[in-house]
Amino acid sequence: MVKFLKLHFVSLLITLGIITSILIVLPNKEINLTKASKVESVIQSRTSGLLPNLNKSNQDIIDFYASIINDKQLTLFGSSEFNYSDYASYKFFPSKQGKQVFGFGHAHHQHLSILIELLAVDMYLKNSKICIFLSPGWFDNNGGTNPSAFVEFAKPELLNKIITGKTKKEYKNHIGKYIYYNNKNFTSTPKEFAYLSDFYLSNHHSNWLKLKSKTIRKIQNLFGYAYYLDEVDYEIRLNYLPKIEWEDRLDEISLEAKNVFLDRITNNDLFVSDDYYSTYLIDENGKERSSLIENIDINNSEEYKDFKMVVKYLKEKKVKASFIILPLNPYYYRELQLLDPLIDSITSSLAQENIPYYNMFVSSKEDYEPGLLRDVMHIGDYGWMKVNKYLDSLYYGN
Amino acid sequence: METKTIIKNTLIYLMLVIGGLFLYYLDVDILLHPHKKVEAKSKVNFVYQQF
Repeated sequence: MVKFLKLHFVSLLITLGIITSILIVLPNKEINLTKASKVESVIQSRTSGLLPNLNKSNQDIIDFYASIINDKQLTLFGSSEFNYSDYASYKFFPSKQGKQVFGFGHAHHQHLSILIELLAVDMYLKNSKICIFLSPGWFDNNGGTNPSAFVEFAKPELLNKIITGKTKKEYKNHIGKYIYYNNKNFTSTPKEFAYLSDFYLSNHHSNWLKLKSKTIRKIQNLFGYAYYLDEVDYEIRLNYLPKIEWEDRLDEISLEAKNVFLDRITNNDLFVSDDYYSTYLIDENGKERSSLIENIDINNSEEYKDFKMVVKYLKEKKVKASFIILPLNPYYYRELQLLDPLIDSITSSLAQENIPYYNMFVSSKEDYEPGLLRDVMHIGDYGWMKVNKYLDSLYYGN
Repeated sequence: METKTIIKNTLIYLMLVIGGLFLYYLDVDILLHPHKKVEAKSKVNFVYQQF
């Protein structure tokens, strides 16, 4: 028996020796990522409106790139406040003034997704105009992007641009780290996910993870043909909206929108629409709901780390960017002042980097202007008009 | 006789370890269809909720 085990032990040792030698001998070069890139001539089809994500067709990606490239077009990044209201900036400006404004995103479209989208259009950012709608709700429960939203917004085409472009190491690491730690939440992953995850490992301070990354790369190098990324570049013909003569009535329209909304409220004192109140704010016992805000640990908030990355990147690229900090309804949320330190950190970060912002957040009922929100967290027509006034003065000098 | 057994065992171990490494680190689907477009999918689909 001892002799039998001894023979196996010796064989195992020899095997490990051979495997280690093979791994040492195999070249540790970076995988040659791209084949010669293909250039396609395409045309921008959307000059305004709302695009929830890039999933429907290739034209969505082209229109997203075009929106960033087109210096006459303002691109808005946001989440669940983006609806089909006629007062939403991406509908109001194009239809009333002939100004090109394009909204991009829907619920769960947060800082990490926005960072990826911006990094992917790195080479086009020079003349672009960008505004990010930041919701304090993103920071709830430590915040951060959920895996379902990540796979929806972090399209392989965008990651491909990040990998093959001149993206700085720290941004690739940031995305790679997310993919590495969320790998168990994905059922299928494209090559781009594997590359960025491996990139994170190869730069990790743990020697074990570095070794793991090296082993992966050496083995994948044996099958280099399969790990190429197909790169496609677009030559986009931009489109422009004809100008519309516009009589400046922003204040008048704003007031009108506010009064119409408030006059319609009949069943609540929370300044939310009747339908919304009866559907969402009355519990099964007929009692009015309310919500208590929880303290946010800014230093450990994933969302805050993502926010800092976005701000850093915008600053580096000198993008004409701005932020809108959205409000929450203080008639529904209790202890909103617990969010004051977060909002202060956000505004001071933006001020420090000279990024303009419009802070609509208030923590007390006294400071809240009824009509800003249509429900407890989404801006209504009047809120949109306030945003329009800000964007008009910032980007169009009015 | 002992040498023969050691060689035989070593070959078996080698195949097992190499096979294991390949299965763990390589995606067979990518090797067979290198140009296939793979969409990322998440195990849990978050549904947007008001609260």
